Amino acid sequence: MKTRLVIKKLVAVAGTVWLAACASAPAQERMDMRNDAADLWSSTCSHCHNLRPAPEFTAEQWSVIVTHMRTHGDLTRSEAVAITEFLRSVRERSTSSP
Amino acid sequence: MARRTISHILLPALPVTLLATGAAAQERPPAVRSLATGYASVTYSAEPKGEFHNNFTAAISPLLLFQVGDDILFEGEADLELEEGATSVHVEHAQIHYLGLDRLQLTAGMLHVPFSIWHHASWINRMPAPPLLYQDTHGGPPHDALLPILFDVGVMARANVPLLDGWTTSATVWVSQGPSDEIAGHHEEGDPNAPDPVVAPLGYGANFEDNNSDKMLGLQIRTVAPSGLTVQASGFRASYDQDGTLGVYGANLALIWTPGLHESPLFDLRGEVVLLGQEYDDGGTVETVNYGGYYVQLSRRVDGFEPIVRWSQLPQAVAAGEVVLEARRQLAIGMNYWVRPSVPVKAAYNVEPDGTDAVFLEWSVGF
Repeated sequence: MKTRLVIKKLVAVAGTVWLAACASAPAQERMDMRNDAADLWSSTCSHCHNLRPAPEFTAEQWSVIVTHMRTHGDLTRSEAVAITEFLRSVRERSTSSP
Repeated sequence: MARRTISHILLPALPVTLLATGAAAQERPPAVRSLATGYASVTYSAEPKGEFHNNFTAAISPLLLFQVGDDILFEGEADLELEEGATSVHVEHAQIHYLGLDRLQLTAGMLHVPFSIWHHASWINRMPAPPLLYQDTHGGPPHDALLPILFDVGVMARANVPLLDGWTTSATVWVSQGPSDEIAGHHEEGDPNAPDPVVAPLGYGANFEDNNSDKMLGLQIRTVAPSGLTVQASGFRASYDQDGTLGVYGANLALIWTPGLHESPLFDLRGEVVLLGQEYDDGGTVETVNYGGYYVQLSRRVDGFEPIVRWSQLPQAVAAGEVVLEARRQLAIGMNYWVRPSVPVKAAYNVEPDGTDAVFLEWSVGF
């Protein structure tokens, strides 16, 4: 019983500390370190599944898909925005080229 | 006069305003966006040794994504499976995410509990059947495995933590309904007059009524190194009986190593170790039965082909002098062929020295 109480408290304290640490972190820091959206896209997405060609989805669909994937991968909001913009630009280039 | 001056200013400004609004409307995506998608699979399985059994199953999981503005996402996923003449329907996800903060995600609803790395979606799994640790069911009870794939109703917060340059680190905490030992009517098998088992089988997740006020509390910490190495540690605790006096504890250490992930991965090595403790009442004293198990899986993609091998093991578990979980060992050998990036055809042969061999053929389609 005592051990359970201690574990319970430890988990609660650890969780609170982690949340507080990230809430106070500067938002742009990580993007500065890895601001190459293509690299971020390939390394994050291919962790779980094969990469999908940008023309497979519309720009609007990519926006929803990347938001969905943000909840599965550990993407920040700014990283998700960067990946969405990258996929949009690749899609535009591939669909406009003859 | 003043009215005339205002109209002189406003009228020329109107077309400019309309043009500007139109341009903005063209550039900005609509506030509400949705996507109906999902995945599906057809599986043939057979037990070639002894009395020959074989079976086809088909499953479809429609996924609805509904995004409101840039900050709110609703994610709903169902699982419909036809197996042995019966169709089962389960809600896999029904969760709302708040994504308005850069480094923090808040989620509420029916969650995929972040405990393991084994993925429930068939097109993402490299093997058609899960390792011995997990039962491929929706919430359990896990029968001869340690745990089902955990889904539960609750709330979750995930935070990205900037610790080291180029590393991705996150911490997730969740609170959910937790397990229950009141599982009558759910996947019950065997003789109804048989004596109660020493250790109660548990049901996890939303398919089981929460029978006490003690919720499951969990924490996961995950870090991804630039080299392609992922290390993930998760743990939970909860009470499962009506009085909230008997607990269950779980710990998971998972590793994924995919060198060369950015360009052409050399191989994918992954594994998990799971430890599980369940308290039980042994004639008035609370004892704990300890379960454990692990698997290691290696795969390498060469063009469209992906050979894969996996070893998993569950040691025997004993409670009050009785064997409550038989020891199992399994070697699984498979070959996948990727027709498209989201369409694999998978073949696998599972060898169990102490049990039954099994053959699997699966065709999956993902979104």
